[in-house]
Amino acid sequence: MRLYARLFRLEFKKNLRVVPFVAVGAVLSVFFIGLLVMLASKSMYQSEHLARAEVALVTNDAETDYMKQAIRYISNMSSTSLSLDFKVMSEENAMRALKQHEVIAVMLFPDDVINGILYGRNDPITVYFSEDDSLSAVFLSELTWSGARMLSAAQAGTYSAAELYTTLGAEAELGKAYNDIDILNFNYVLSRENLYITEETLPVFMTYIASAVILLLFFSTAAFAPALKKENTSFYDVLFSGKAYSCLYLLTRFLANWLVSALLLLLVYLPLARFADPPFDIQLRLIPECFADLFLICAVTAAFALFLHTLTGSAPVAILLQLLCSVLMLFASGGILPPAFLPSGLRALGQHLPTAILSEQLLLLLQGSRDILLLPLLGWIVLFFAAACITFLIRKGAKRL
Amino acid sequence: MHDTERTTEIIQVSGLDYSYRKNHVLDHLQFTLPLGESIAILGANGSGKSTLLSILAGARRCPGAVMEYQGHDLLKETKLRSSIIGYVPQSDPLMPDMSVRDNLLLWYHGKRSDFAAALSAPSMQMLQLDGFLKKKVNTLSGGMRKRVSLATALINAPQILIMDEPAAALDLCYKAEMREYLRQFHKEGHTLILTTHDEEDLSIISVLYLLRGGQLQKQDRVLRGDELLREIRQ
Repeated sequence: MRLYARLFRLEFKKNLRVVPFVAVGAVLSVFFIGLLVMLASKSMYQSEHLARAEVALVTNDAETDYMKQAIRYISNMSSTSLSLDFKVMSEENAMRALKQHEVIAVMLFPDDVINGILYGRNDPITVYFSEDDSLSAVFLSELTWSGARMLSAAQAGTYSAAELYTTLGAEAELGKAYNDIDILNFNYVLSRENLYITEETLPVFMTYIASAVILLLFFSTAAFAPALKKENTSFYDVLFSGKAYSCLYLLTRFLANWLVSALLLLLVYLPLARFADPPFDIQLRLIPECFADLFLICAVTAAFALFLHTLTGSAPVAILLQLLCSVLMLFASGGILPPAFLPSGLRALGQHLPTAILSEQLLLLLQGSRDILLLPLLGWIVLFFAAACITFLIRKGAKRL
Repeated sequence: MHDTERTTEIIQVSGLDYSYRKNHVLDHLQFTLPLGESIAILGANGSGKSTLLSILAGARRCPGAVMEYQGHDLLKETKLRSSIIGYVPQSDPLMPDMSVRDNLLLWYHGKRSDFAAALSAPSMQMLQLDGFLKKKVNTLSGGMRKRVSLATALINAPQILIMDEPAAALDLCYKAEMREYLRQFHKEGHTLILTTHDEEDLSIISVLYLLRGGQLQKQDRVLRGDELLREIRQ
């Protein structure tokens, strides 16, 4: 045991020494992941970036209950809430802002538009887009389609109520009741849509945050390569001429790398959990389960890195493989493109990859959940570590475990 | 030639057979290693010298081989073997990013509290490492690194030192220095087993073996010059 304790001490020291490089690796990773997101958004939406933009609303009914609710509705839709802000303006100001690219679109609402729709007049809404901005076109087409759907539902409700009043012989009351019926219909439609949106928006954004964190972990832990690179053959000759066992030696390497990377992550997590006010309902909690999450997540990345370094026997090749594998696995597990876009075979495989498990665990962590995916995470840790041991023994040509 | 009369014990090696795929480098070797001697194993490149030393040191498995010492098989009894044999491979068995002290402590078998005493043993003092203990190995010269490698073996005060090409890649001064350490180690009554390509190293040798065609042949004296070359080329 004395030998392993000393090996662990040296391995721990080696890992501590590369922490500054890991920090630089993390900064570079943030840069590259940001670049990746930008390029992805460009290719997916033909837009330069996914920054928030403004849309001008020109209406004379801004203060009416209908219009207030309609604006609240379109502002909360899943696509628009991520990227668009709506601002009521005069027509003159709106058109000037569009020309100066201060807004990406202007929507001109005819007077009393909501009532017009509810009562079957269907006055058209005119939309002016800024040039070459197909991203806004995508979002606004969703907006107009959803708006029409919502209003048609309210319109149907109003007509149904009117028919019911007529059938019951209460036409006299109908005139007074119209306003109440409209507001009630509108509110019910809105509350259902809002409920749907709230459930949908959070996981989408959380998923991308989890993917970014996974990439960050894999990319920055690649900087542990100087500590994980194999020793020279003579070192192993002397080590294994004594009482050392290959798997226990690898265990010291794994434990040292795991502990240092977990402590490093903890150093980032603790102040964030204590002082930061994260967006999108992220809850970073200071509870034992969250710490266990962090340690388990780091154990998977440490075991994976150990396996790759043992497999390749070369630090540069291991780094390259680590970066490549992490991106490919993340892609296959739906962390870059939604799984719905992937071929069914790849989707089925991706669900079982370590990146999928890590992503799920990170989502739980970000939501402040106490749940831990213990078995799948332990499974991958054991699998990677066992693969590292087998590879090491094969490379060494030895037969003892 | 050193005094050979002090030899009282031997290590009996038998059944040592080793191949690299179709290359049969060690062919059922059977030989004795007289303790207290300084033994050199010479042979052409690729003749299997390093393989032989690594098997004797326990770094390479060789099923069927026996290394008998006082009724014990040293190849099977790891604890006994590592307590009496120190091994220095051809390149340095060191962690380059760590200090000399860290490296020595790693290979030291004893308790940490006894480490200071081990460092002050005569064989360690001879290596004059006191001023370098805190230095990182990768900041040392090749000669100094070799000295540290030797120290990793001597720190456990072994009776037998197995060293693969002690003077490889060293300049003339360091070669002379290394030879002096080994001479001193042998003078203290220990056994030295080494391989070399440097004829100068034979000045500290008392028993010479030649490894040719997978066979180890003991020479009745330490050959030198053309005579040695002829024997190696045969």
